[in-house]
Amino acid sequence: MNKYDTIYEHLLEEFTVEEIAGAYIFSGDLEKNEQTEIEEEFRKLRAKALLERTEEQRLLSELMRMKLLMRDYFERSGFEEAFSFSKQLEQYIKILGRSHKEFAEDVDLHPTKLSRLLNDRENPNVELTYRLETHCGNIIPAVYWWKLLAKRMEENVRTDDEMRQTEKQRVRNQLRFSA
Amino acid sequence: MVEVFIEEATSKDIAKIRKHPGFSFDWEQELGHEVYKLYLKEDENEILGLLSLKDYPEELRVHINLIEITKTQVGKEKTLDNIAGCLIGFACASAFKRGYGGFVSLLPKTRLIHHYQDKYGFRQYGRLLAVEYESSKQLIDKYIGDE
Repeated sequence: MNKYDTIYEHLLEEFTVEEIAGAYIFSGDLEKNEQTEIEEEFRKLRAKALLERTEEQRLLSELMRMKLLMRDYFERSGFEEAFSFSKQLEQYIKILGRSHKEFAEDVDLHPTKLSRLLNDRENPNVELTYRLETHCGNIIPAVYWWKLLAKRMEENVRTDDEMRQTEKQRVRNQLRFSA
Repeated sequence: MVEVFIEEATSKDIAKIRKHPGFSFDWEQELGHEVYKLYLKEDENEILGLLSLKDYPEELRVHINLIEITKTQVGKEKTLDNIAGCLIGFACASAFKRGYGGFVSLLPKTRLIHHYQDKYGFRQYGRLLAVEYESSKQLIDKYIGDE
C-alpha cells in the first residue's frame, strides 16, 4: 500500500467517501510504467483535441484570458499602459479578427469615433461599455471596461500637477484649517 | 459569504503545515510544483486549504496534483462550503491565463472519479479527468465569480 492509500484509509475512518471527494484530490496508487502509459495515452488525445479546436473555443479561451488578466490588474495598485482602455479594446478587436470598420458597425460607432478611442483622443462612455459587454457574449462585464478607464483617470487625477495648479487659480473663498 | 484569498504558499507555510493536525499529506513533497494556500481575509495565519499544481506548457494544461482541506472544514462539522471548489476554480483561472483554454487535469483514485464528474463536471480524458473551455469557465463563475 503506498503512502496516499494509507492516508485514504485513515480518512475513511473519519469521513464518508463523498466527504473525502469534496475536500481532497489526490492520485491513486500507480506503478511507474502504468503512470507513463497513462501519460502517453493522454498526450495523444490532447494533441488530437488541440488540432480539432473550434473557432468558438479559441475565442472563449482568449476572451477568458483577457478578462482574468484584467481582473489581476484591478487588484494591483496603479495604472499600467498595457491595460488602458484603448490598448485592451485594440486587443479585443484583434482577438475577434474583425477590421476596425466591421467592429465599429457591430457596436454602432462611427469609424472616426472608434479611431479616436483607439488613439486615446476620446474616452468611452457608459453606453459603450454595455455594448462591449453584449458584444463579447457577456464574458467581459461592462464594469471591467469601465474600470480600465477609471484606473487611468485615477492616475491622471493623482499626477496632473499642471491642471491642479491651473484650476487652483479659479477657486475663491478656499476653506483653511489651522494645523 | 466570506472573503477568501488564494496565494502562493511559502516554504515557511509548508513547514507550519507539517506539524498541523488538520493536514495529513506530505506537502514538502509538493514544493517542486506550484503550491497555493487558501485563507480567510480576517485570519491570514490560518491556512484552510492547499493546492499543488503542475504546469505542462507543451500540452497546454495545468494538472492538479493534490488538494487538501483542513480537517475541521471536512464533513458534518465544517463551517464553510466550497473551499475545494474555490481551489479548483483558481486552477481553471490559471489555465485560462496561461492560454490553455482553461484545461485542468487530474488523476484521482478510481473510487472517487464519479464524484469529481458529478460535482465539478470533469470528464474522462483517457484515464485522466479534465475540464476545459465552457466547463472550466463554469467552475470559475461558480466558485470565484466576477468581482
